[in-house]
Amino acid sequence: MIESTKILNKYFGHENFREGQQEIIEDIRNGSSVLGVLPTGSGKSICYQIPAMMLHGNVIVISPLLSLMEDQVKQLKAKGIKNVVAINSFTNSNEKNDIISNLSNYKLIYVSPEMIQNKQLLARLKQLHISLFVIDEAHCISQWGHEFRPDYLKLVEVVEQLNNPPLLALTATATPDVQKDILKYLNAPNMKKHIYPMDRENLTFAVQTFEHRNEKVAYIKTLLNKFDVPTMIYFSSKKEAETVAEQLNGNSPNLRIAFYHGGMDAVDRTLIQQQFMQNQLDVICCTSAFGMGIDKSNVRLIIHYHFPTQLESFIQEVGRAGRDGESSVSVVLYAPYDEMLPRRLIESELPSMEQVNSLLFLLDKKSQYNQFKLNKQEIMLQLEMNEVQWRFIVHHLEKHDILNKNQIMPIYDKKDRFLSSIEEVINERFAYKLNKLNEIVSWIKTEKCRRKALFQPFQSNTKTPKYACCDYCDFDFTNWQPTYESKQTTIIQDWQSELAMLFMQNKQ
Amino acid sequence: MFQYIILECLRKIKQERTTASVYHLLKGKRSSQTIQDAHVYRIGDYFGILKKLNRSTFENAIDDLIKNNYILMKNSNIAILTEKGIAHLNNNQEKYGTHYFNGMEYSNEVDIFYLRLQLAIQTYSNLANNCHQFVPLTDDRMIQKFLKEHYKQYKSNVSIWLHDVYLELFDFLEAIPMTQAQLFVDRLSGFNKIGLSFNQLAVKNKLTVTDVSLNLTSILHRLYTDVNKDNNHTRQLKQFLYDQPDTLLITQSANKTLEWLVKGFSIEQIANIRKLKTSTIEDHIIEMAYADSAFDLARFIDANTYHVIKTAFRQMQTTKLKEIREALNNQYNYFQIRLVLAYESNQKRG
Repeated sequence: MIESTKILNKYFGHENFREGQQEIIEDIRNGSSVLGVLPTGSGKSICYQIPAMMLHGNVIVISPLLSLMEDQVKQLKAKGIKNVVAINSFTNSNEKNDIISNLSNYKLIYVSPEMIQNKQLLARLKQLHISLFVIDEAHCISQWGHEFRPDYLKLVEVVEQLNNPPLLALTATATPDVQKDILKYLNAPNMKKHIYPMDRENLTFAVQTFEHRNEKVAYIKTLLNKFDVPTMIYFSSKKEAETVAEQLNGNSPNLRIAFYHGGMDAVDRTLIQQQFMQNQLDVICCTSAFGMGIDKSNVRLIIHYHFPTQLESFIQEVGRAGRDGESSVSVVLYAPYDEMLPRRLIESELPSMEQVNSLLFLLDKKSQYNQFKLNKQEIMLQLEMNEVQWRFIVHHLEKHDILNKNQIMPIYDKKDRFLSSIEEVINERFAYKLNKLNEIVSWIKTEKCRRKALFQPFQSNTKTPKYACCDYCDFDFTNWQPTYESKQTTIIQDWQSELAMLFMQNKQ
Repeated sequence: MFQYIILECLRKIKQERTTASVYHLLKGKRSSQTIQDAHVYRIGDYFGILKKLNRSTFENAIDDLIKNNYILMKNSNIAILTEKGIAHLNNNQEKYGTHYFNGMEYSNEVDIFYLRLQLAIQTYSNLANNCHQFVPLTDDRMIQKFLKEHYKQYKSNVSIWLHDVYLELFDFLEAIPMTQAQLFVDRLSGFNKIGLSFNQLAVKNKLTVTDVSLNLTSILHRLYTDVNKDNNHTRQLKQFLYDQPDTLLITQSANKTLEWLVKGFSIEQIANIRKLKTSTIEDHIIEMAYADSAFDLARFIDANTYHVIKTAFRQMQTTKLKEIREALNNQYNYFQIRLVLAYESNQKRG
C-alpha cells in the first residue's frame, strides 16, 4: 500500500480515495501546481491535508470562511492531527503572538486572506520552508465568481514573497471563465487542471410551487411526517429559520428539530452541529452558515425554503445530501415573489452611489484636518455599510490609489475618474448578479430535465442517475423509498440517571 | 427572573441613574461609570451576569415592566417603581434565588471554571468509552491548554476522576431545586450525549432564553461559592477554579495608571506621561479605591480631610456629591469627596 493510502486509512478512516483525490495528491508530491475542481462533498480538503503530512515543511491554506477554517481545525484535531492552527480576525493578539512564535511547529497553517497580509506574520512565514500554498474556495479570486474577495487578488504578491512555492487552487464550482481567472490572477498559467463533474448520480431534484408562501410550512410538515430522515432546511433569514423551527417543533413531537445560524452563541453552535452529526437531531433549520466543512454522510433530504442568489451556491448546498451514495432528494419550495428576498440580498452586497459619495466627502474632510487614518467600524456605522460593501469600496479606493494601506492619499483630481469608474463597476456587477438570479429562477421554472438544466453551464454531460432523476423526468415523492437507519431514541430521564450515565456510575 | 432582577436594580439606583445603566451593569461593561454604579448602589452582585444580553431584549423587558404597571417612566430613561412593583419585589424575594449571584467577584472566573469543567467532563467521558474522536465544546486555546495539563495528572486515573466528580456534583445538585439540577445536567456533554442548547433548554422548561441563561449562571455562582469555601467535599472540582493573578476589577487604562503609581509617580506626572487629563487619572484612582480593599488612601488625602468628608456624608445620608460639597462650604474638591465615598463603600463591603 502506498504511503498516502496508509495515512488516509489511519487518520481519516477511509479505505480508498474518492474520485480525483489521489491524482491531485500525486501531482502535488511531484512539485506541480494544481487547479482542482471537485464537487462538494468529495473531500477536497484531503487533497492538501495528506500532502501536508508527507511533505517536508509547512503548508499554508488560505480560506475565506472563518467558520469553515475553525471547523476544519477542530475536525483534524479530533482525528488526532494536532499540529494545525488557524489564524484569523478572531484570534486575539496574545494567541496570535503565541502562534507566530511557534509557527514552524504547525504542519498546516490556515490563514484568512486578510490576515496573510499582516507584515509580522508574513515575515515569519518567509523564514519557513513552505512546501505548498493552498488557495481554498479559489473561485473567490474571480470577479465573476459568486463570492468575489478583493483580498484574493493580493495573494499573487504573497506567493512571490514566499519564493513561489507550488500552488494548489481548489474550488467546487468554477465555470470555464472562472477557471481562466484563477490561472490569470495567480499568475500560474501552467497549473495542472483536474476538473471533475459536479453532479452526483444519487441526487434527485424537485421543485414544489405554491400559490402563497404561507403554504410552505404545512407542506414541510406533511413531508417530514412521511419521511423521517435526516433533513436540512435552508433559509436566507435567521429570523425565519427560528420561527419555522418553532412551528415544526410544535407539530411533530417525534421529530427532533432545531435551528442554526451564525448569530448563535459559539458553544450552542457546536452543540447543535454535534447533535445533528450524532443523529440526536433529525431536522435542522439553518442558514448557509451551517454545513460548511461538515461531513455528515446520511443527510437524505434538503429543502430550500428560500433559494440562494445563484446556481453555484445552490449546487454547493444540495451537495451536502447523500454523501454515502444513498438516494437523496433536493426540493425547492417556490412561491410568487420569492425572488424579492435574494434580490434584496444582492442589493446589500454592493454599496450605493450615495454611500460612495458620502465616503469620499468624509475622506476629503479628514485629510483637510490632517487625519489620514480610516476607522473602519466608525465609517461602517456612520454610512450604514456592511462588511461586504466595505470590502468592495476599499478595494476600489486602493485600486485608484486614494487609499494605501489604510492611509488616505491626496484625492485632488482622482475623484471624478474614481466615481465614474466605480459607478460603472457597480452597475456591471449588479447586472451580472441579477442575471445570475434570473438563471436560478428560470431553473426553478424550467420545464425540461432539471438535472441537465442545472449542470449545463458547468459541464458538457451529466451522469446517469442511480435513482430517480428529477420531477420532470420521473420523480414523485410517492415513489421515494429512502434508506432509514434505526433511530436511537432518547428517553427523557431525570437528572440523577442522566448524571450517572454520563459519569458511567450506573447503579446496580 | 430577568424582570425581577431589572426591577430590583431599578429600585436600588433610586432614579439617580438611567435604565441604560442597568443594561451596562448586567452586560458587565468595564467602564468606570458602570463599575462605580455597581459599588455605589450595591448592585455589584448582578455585574456581568448576562454578558450576551442585547439591547432589544433589555428594552422589551423594560416595556413589559411598564405594561405590568411595575414601573413608570420619567423623561423616558428614568424608571420609578410603582407600589405594585415594590410589592412584586417584596413578595418574590426568595423565589428566584437571586442572592446566589456574585457577579462582581465571579463574572469572569466562573466562565472559565465552567468551560474547563464542561470540557473535562466531555473529554473524560469520551476517553472512558474509548472514544478518541470528538469535537471539543470550546475552541478557547487557554482552556484546552489547561485541560492538557490536567490530563497529564489524571491519565491513568480517569475512572477514579469520573467517580469522584460524580459524587461531588451529585451532592451539590441534590441540594438545589430539582429543575435547576436538571437544567445543569441537560447542558453537559459527554460520550453519546450532546448537551442541549440554550434555546432547547428554554423550550423544554418553558422559559425564555434569557431566564435559562440567568438560571445557569445562578447555579454556577452557587457552585463556585461552595467549591471556593469547602475544603473536603469538592476536592476535584477545586482543580477547575481559576486562580486569577491578583488583578483588580478595573479598566485597562486604570491598570496602566496603577502601574505608574506603583513606580511612585504623582497624578500630574502620570497625566503628563500618558498624555491624559489629570481628571482622567483621578477617575482611575477612584476606580482603584472601589476595587482594592487594600487601597492606600493616605497617599492622596490626609487623615483630617478624610475624617471631615466621611462625617459629612454619613450625617447627610446622601451620595450626591454636589450636596456634600456645598455642606462643606466648597472647601474640598470633587475628587477628594468621591475618593472618600469610594474608599468607604469598599470598607463596608469588606
